[in-house]
Amino acid sequence: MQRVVNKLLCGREMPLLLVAVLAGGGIAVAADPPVAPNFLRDVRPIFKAHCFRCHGAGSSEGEFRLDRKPLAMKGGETGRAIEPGKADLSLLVRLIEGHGPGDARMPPEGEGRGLRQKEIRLIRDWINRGAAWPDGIDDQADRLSLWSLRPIRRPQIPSVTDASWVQNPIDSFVLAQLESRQLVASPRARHRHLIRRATLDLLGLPPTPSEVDRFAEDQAAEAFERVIDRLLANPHYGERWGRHWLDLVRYADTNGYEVDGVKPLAWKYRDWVIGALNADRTYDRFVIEQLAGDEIAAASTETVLATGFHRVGPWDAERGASVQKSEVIEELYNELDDMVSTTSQVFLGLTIGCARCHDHKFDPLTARDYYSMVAVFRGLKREHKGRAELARAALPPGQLAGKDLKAQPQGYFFFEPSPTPPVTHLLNRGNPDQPGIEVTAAVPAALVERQPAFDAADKFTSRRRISLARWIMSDDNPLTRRVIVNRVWQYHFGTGLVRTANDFGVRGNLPTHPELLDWLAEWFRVEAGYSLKKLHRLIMTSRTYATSKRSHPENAGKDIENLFLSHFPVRRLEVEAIRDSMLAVSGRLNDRLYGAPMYPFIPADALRSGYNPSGVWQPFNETDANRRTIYSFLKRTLMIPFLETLDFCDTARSAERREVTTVAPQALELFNGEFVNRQSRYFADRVIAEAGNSPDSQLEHAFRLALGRSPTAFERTSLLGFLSTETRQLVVDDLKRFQRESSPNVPRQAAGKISESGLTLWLDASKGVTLDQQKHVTSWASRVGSLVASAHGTPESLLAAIGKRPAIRFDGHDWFSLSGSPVTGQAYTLMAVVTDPAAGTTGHRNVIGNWDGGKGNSTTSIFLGTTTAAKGVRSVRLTDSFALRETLSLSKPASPFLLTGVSGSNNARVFQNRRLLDQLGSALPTRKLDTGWTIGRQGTLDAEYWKGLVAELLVWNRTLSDDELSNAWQQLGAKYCVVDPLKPRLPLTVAAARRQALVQVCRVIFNLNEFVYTD
Amino acid sequence: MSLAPTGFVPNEAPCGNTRRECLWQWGGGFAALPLVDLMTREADAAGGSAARSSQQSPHFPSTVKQVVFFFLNGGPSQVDTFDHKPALEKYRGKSFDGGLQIGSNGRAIGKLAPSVFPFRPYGDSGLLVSSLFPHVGQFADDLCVINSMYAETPTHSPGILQMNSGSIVLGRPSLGSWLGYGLGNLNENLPSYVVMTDHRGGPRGGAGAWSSGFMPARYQGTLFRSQGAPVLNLKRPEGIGAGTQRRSLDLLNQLNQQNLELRGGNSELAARIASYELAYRMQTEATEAVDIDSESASIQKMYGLEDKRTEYFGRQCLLTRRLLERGVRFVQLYSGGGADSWDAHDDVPDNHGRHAFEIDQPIAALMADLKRQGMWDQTLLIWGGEFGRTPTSEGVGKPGRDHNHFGFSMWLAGGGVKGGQRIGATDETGFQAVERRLHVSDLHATILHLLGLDHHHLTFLHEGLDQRLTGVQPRKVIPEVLA
Repeated sequence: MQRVVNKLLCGREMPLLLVAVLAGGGIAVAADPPVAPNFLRDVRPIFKAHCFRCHGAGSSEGEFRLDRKPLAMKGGETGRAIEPGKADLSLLVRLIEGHGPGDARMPPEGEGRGLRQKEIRLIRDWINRGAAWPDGIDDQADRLSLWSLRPIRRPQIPSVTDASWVQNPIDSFVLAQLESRQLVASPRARHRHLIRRATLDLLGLPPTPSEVDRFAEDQAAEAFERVIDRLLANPHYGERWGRHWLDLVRYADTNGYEVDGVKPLAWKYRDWVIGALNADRTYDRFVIEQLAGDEIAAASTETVLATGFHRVGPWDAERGASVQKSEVIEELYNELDDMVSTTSQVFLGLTIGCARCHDHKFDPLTARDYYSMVAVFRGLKREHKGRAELARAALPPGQLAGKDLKAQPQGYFFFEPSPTPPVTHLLNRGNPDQPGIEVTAAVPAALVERQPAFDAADKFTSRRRISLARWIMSDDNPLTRRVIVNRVWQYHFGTGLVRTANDFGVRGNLPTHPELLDWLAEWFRVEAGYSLKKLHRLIMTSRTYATSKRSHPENAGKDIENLFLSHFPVRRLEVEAIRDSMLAVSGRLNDRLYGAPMYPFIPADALRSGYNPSGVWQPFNETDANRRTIYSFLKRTLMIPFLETLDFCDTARSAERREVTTVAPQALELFNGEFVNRQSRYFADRVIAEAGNSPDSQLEHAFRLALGRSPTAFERTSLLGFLSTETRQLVVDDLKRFQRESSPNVPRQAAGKISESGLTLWLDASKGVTLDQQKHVTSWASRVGSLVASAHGTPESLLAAIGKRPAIRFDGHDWFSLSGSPVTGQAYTLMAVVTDPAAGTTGHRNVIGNWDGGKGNSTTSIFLGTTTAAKGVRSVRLTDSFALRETLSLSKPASPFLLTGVSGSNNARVFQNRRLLDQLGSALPTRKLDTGWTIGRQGTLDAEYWKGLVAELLVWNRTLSDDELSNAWQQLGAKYCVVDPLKPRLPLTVAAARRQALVQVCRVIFNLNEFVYTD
Repeated sequence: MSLAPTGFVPNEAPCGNTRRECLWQWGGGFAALPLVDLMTREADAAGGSAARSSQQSPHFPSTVKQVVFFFLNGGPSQVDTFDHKPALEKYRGKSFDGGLQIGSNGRAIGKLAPSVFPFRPYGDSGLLVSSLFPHVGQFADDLCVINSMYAETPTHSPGILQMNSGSIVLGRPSLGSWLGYGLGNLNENLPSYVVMTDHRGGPRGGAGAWSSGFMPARYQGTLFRSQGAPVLNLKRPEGIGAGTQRRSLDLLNQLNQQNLELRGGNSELAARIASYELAYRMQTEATEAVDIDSESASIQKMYGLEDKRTEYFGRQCLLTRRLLERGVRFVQLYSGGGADSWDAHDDVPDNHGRHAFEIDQPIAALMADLKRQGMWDQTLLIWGGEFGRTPTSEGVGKPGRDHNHFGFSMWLAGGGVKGGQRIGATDETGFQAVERRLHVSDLHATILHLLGLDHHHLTFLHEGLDQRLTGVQPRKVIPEVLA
């Protein structure tokens, strides 16, 4: 449909352009009535699809060729084929109709399908009308039939009626279109919208309130230019625009498929992209380094890392490293296809991958072209040992000799083991078992008048990639710069001037503003010297970019899709910008640049569908996970649900744009999901800390932080109303709960005893402890059963340590090994009375567990311990597959508490005293039970020592019921004075209720359309 | 031709792509339609048509609306299930000499070994079924067993991809995605394509198996759990009461509405507002759908919920019936997962014995239930894995079998399917499909056909090609399958 619209809209320009080009080449175009078949448009494609393979450049069966006018008109062995004006008498027609000599048909059986009636009619019609075949067209026909292959000539800047509107030449092109269509441009956007638009656009983060204020007050003409320059200089620019590039190059951190192995150090390529954009590496260098950074004269570690471009695609290691040769070969061709398709789509906007099995149906690309491109990459090799991939020393090939390669910087990229790659054959139907003619490395024939020279191999590589790269960036190639300026335009405006950014072929869209596209392409090459930052600046300082997002009422019903940009097209932000904005607004963004990937929180339910639920994801480290989303570990077989739900791109192939779907699961993710609710709490706390307790100033501050503006009167009234109603409601509801729980009518269970059923370990510091002469503990025997803990290091027994009762002190290198295993199944309960004063030092500390990396349960062990993250925040871990979202809350760092971990068949829960810190909602993954148990450190690891007291430690080899848990807590709590379990939790204070209401407001703000859309 | 929006919210062009591509999808390209028609549709669609039905039309009428795919993850052995090979007795202990590369990755090759599971005829058709599936055997006259399937790889992950998406290469939409794209949703409050994995873990290659590939993400499979909250984030966040949730949602709607009016309306923003209400309704509907406890004790017993071994798959089958009743288009159930799948390299009798026991009764219960509820004719059932297994044992003296993609069995049943028959055959050892060889994509073409879709014309434009589920090679509907 789009194409129809474009045809209608651009109908006037395009044929004129075509005629001009043809005329320029000294070619006459037959002036047929519109219904008559046009040779170039209608007839030749049929010949090409069905006849050229046998009657073309490659071979001329029967001494007949259909790709050259003189030869076609002359005919072949069986005589003349085309009788102009007389279709019935033409051998060609008889043959395609299946009535040739001896009922011969063309194409013959087995060489492709016969022509369709429609196609035969067309050829008949064309012959009957005289078989008009423009002279001299044959060599260029393919190029001339496709707009994107025509040479770029810098178009005239059009004149416009309202010259005052124009701020730079972009505006002349845009306004000329608007004026000719009687469309009215919307007014300029207001300052606070403009700065928000530009900041989200260049950084993927919202502007701070002070940045908004400063710009709003700056009335200078060049104020907005200063904003753009400031943003372009900000290193977050590389993170935002680097992500666009990563979409295009199908970046991920693992290979996908069965093994889905980690691509070691793939992130160094990601960092190279971010760094190159921040440094404004000119686009020619940017391209050449990725394609052939190891082959350029100025090759360096950096440029070698850039060639990671080729290797970040999927790889089926099971097949690629198979002992079966056919599997290896098929996988090799899949890899080569990945390289050819990605290269041609990303840089040339051509879908040459189509030609793997047969000539491209629509574009002037043949299977021969495809395999010539395959030959370019044929020499590349993957460093791997079986199914595991290896990194390599990131040095140019010429600098490797004589160096200790292990000591060099490492990276992830292919290499050419030999300057002479294996021979490449055209594969019939893409089948490696059916090799055809041999092909050499070359550029698709239709794209060039003459093949560019390919370098000879040097001592190290075939130099085919550098040769291709040089042609890709050559001035004669019109595609590359058309494609990149269109992409940049697309990321600024949501859609490109050509809406199919990866397909500039016949099936792609025509440009809405063809002259603007060409003007930009030339400007980018000549004036900007391929500087992307200059291109951003030009686009963003245009009046077109500054147009308000509201459409002008006079345009009602016209240009509904806003193809002609009478107003700024709003669009939903990409998931990265949504997530990063929330972190920035909540105050928790960790803005560290570059480095190894981080692992956002994934709920256990989502992990469970994976092949390896327990070992697949790293424990949640909040500080690290609060880095920008581009640093997320991208695992091809397990996409992070938050990203996937919000239309993250497919990583299997080059993604030219993000889809924008609007579905209920997105609402669920953003309204109920863990991340948004957590950030809402932080956001509310930040607002209270910075704006004080007045609801009015809180709302003002929250709006300015999140949306860059004050609330409207309507919003203020609604929100103040909500805050007071919600606060009152929360207080009332919680008071009701308190009264209910305090009511004497509620039967209070008398505290039962600690259940000894299934109790396999009961260490009590007041019993069973033996000391050596230095008063250090040597062993600690269980009150039940026969397990004994033997001491290592110098743990001490303190007499009145917790609640005036004895406890064992662990000072950071003390630990015990247990004489046997207290747990034999997947259901167990761990309970300890401890202090954990080591809040100031970050890291893990472990009370009890059976971790043993040597026996392979580094991710399948049981343990219970605490963790201190940045700012002294403490949380708990119950095994490494359950990192809690809630943190410990203690009045003093050294306050004693009861720590309980419960594993059951359909849930796992962790409690501090009586407070449920978190629950998994499903069983923990299966744990390994055949390793030794330790107390006070992480199993066999010489690390994660407990630093504090342990007064009592109990392990049940089963899941305790809630009543049993309650009894145990009550007994231990009373004994050590840590909890008073009989008192119901006190009702919410008004201040606490106010905070909770504000959290809801913050959650609502994060869900506003305005928050997740461009301004 | 109907161009109705699909999915939860009709906010974009009918097939989730540009309208131009949409027209390509229906075969003829835009040239096939009068221009006037195009222009009205354009205005119509662009004008925001929230009231349209969300169901797209098939290419031709069909009674079959819904699909259940029992995916025996890891590869079930054909000679132990539905492909009886008495000749294996006489070859017992002999080497296989078929000139084909056996097995998956250079593992040791053992000798030909007959099945330890006796076969017997069932029903009027006398279809032979092994003792692994006595309950399913009761429905022999409904089964259309294809004994001559073949695939392109003996490796799990690409094999699973191929069985789901037609291609061994990552990045292509799966069968469920194609159905959602071609036929739309029957119930907007539930996902159209539901996947339930085994409690021991998912298939190798993970989410690639239910990916929508190059189609928009809304067409991908949604993972459902048969206990607790079925879908991620369906429950209110911990500590937020029902009243607070509703009041916050109302506040959000109020602010968004106000903002929308200021902006003079925008169909995409309006759709986003609507999506929150849909999500709210989904909380109710999906939670209610998984409420298996509301089923009678006799039904629960029929599905095997009383036996620990059949309980898990039984719950999933019962949940499947409840989802089908509520209009879910495609349900895929994985049997076996993580480290315990049907991949019986070491011990077929133990492995297949356990896994078949887990699913036999629940599958038969679902079949009986669908008939009882009058849903049989509108439901297509598919049974099979990514490939089969060798008739040889693996290694020496081990009762396991290796991967085998040269020949394996699958069965279809339900609406539009001619039951009580076997199609094609493997050689006398059961190793290679020799008679009526049928490629995975032939099966896909047939499945689409049964649902009223022509696999040639169900296309999606991507990378310059009209992509099809059945790929570029010529594939055909299997006419014998059709009733």
